[in-house]
Amino acid sequence: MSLLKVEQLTKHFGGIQALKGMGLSIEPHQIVGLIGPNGAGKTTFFNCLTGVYRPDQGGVELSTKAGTRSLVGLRPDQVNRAGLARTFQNIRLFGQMRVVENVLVGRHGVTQTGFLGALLRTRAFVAEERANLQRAYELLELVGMADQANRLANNLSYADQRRLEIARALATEPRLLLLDEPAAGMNPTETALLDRLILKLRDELGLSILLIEHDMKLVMNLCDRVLVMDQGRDIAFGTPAEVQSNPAVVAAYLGEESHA
Amino acid sequence: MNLLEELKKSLLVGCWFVFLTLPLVGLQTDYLEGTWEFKGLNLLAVFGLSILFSWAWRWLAARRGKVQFEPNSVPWAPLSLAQLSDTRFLLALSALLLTLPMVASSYQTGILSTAMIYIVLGLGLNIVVGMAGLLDLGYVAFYAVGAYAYGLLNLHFGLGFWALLPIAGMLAAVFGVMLGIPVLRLRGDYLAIVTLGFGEIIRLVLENWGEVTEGPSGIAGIPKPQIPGVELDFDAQAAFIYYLLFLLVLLAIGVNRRLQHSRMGRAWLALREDEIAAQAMGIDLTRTKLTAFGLGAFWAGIVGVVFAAKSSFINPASFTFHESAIILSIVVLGGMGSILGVVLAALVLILLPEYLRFLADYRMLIFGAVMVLTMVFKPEGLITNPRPTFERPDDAEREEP
Amino acid sequence: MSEGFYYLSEIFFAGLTRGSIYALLALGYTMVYGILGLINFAHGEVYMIGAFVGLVFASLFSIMGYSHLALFAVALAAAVIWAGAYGFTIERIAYRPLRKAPRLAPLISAIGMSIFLREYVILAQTSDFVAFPALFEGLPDLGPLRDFIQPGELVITLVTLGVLGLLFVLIKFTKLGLAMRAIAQDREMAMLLGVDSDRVISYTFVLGSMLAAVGAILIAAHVGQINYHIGFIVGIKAFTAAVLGGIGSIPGAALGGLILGLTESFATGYISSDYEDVFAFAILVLILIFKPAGLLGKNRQEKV
Repeated sequence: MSLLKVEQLTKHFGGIQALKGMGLSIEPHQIVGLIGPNGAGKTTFFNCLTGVYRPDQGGVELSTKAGTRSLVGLRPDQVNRAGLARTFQNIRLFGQMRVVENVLVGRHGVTQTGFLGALLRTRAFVAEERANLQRAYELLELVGMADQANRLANNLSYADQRRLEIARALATEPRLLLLDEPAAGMNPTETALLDRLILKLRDELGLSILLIEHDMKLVMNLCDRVLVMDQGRDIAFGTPAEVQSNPAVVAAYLGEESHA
Repeated sequence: MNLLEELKKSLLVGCWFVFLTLPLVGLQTDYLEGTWEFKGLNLLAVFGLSILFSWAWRWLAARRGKVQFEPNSVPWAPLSLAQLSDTRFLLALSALLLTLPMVASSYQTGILSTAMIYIVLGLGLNIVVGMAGLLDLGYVAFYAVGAYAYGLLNLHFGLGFWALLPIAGMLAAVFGVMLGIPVLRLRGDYLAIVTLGFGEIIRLVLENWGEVTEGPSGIAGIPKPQIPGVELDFDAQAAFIYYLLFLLVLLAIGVNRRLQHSRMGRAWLALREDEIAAQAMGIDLTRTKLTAFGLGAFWAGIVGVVFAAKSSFINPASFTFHESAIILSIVVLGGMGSILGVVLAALVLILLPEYLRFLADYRMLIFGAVMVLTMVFKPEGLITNPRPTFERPDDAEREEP
Repeated sequence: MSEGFYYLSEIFFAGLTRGSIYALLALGYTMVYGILGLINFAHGEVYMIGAFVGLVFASLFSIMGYSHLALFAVALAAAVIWAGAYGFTIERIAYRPLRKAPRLAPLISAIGMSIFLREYVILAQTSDFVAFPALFEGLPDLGPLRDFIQPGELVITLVTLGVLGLLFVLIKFTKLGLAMRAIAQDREMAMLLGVDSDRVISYTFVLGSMLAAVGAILIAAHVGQINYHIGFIVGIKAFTAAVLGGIGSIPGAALGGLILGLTESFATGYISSDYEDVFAFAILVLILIFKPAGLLGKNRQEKV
């Protein structure tokens, strides 16, 4: 039973066809890499999955505790509550908030007490705040940032900001995590740490991860499966070894510098 | 920059401003009478003031960014924030404020009551603008809804003050949500203009729909709040309203504080920082925005009732864009989101013109200038209000024996 | 010719007149928004100041014995010069320091500046309505057309068309126009290519203010009186026109102005004149909610 099933996903903007019948299947506890030349439509694909754009055609189905759910037509916050979380290519943190607060925002969708509870300081409110704060700290420990919990997010280093985004996304308790170029701008040490973190997410937290990356070494070492996109289409899907030797993939990348 | 260049620059600016103000400040004409008057003294004043202004501007600009104001400090104040928040100090201050109506004249009490009305208005708008970042320029409409709810429902159905307080609050909240629904998808500037438009529409309706709203002549004879069974003379009534407002201020402060440290408060801040990221984290933008509008409007509605009772007369002229602008200045000057800042700003902006009478005519001029200068030099407002810090719950509990 | 027809043409040309003034003002809003992404809240006050400056000079020259055409020329010239100067100064003080500030800051600054300028005029001059030379009254009526259109209305329409034509030439064929268009498209790229964006932005403000001043004198001469408050209402309506036509689009501003002017005129003429201002606000609200790009505008998609 696939965790995520995408079929015939199509999207165009005005006259431009950004996605042409994309298909993808992600299993539970699986790390899938999404690669392709610049402009292939990778982030657009993410945006269609997460509800930022509404696809023109096609289906997206997520397997949740309550059964299979179609994500097409849902708002981004609804998609998130269904179990899909994401990070952004251009980091979108809440800069004026503390690191731990950023993660706390992620707890919004899984918190029950509303503003009345906050106003009246009910026991339920206090208990939930405490539990959320505890969880936030745990997640920060997971990504290795617990010691910076009270720094303002704006003051973080670039790599730390990327890790915080991951922690924040994790706070929403997703089943599938979408990472958009998580290693961008990281040096080899930081990339290795990220590598280990993603493995932890799959093995300890039981998540599946779909990541867009240009760092070929990372992708080939880390991913269970790789999906290759070119010009809005999926042109190959398989293990890293299979994909690397696929002539269509090589052709798509001809002229493109890869990090491999 | 050396002194000579500074002087040259300032002189140039001085001349420029004299040129700018020449037709309006330097000349008085009357077309119909055929007279004209040259006001050289005015121009001299402009020259002098603009030289000072230019020099001060450049001095402040040079220091902008270099001076880091201590977080949670009130710059150039004789007391630090820590001292201001100290419980004993607050108790002493409260005691002082509570005894005021007994020693001061009812006129003085009335002035402070007005200031407190603006504090509540500022705290209400603070929820919408300061916390959620939704620039509402028509906030005065909710104030009007509250006041007119009392005026009209009292006039036609004899409903009393105490019944109206919650009714007006709820009604204003409903209006707030209604205003919020169409503007959900609008960003910054557009949101501001549309809310401005709504504010004006409400005022125009109040003015023109005479059959229902009594039109420009307004409603008079609005009764003051009564304590059942007790006769209150004029001074006592003023004092009663004062204490009532004091309570409302405390309530508003309490509510603001609780909201700031809640899931909703964080959602508002996230919304303000980055809507798209907020949504991706599971925040329902519609609900979050509408809650802000509704809660903010609620306070304006409630305090509108008190205003109507205090003035015993209301008409559309009390609810112009001017008022929205004043309340906005309070929030802006106070520092978006900072409760203490809003309180201080309201006191400064409302009380100072009262006690410095010669400034009264220049009140709006100062408001406008304050808004521009605050944005240019200290956009965080009087009080920089960084977010609170959070200790890990396990650690916090381990420390307690 | 029936009574109804005369009334219709009266409404039509009144609408055309209004529309011209709205168009002139809307251009200022749209140019600034196209280049800075900012609503110049203070634009309406510059318009108002233009009117007052024109009045002062017209009064002076009238005392010296000049009359109609000369007064018009003087008022126009003075209004244009001073409005440009005010526009320039406003940009320097309230907007330039906030180029890199978050969205809300320049907007609040603009509002503050608008309040400041209104009060300034109240204090410097008066809050009463003041008489402005009704310079179009002396014009000969238009013979066979006299029942349809007033001479003043014709003047306003023609002057507006002329000004629009000049603007078109400026934007299309001069270096400044090219620079303005470049900056509106992509400011950083334009700067990299050597465009002095600060200068061009200043020019844009000055130009917009001058257009507003022309509109101010035209309508003041037609109506015969001015007041400190005219900038506020007309400002919002002109902004509505700019949005209606597509904010950022210059032909859109002209079109929007025209449509708004005619709509208002017909609405007040045939429905009700009490709620005159409400029509414009209602249109504004509806447009921003349903078609924020306006008639000729482009949709700006935020990149995720």
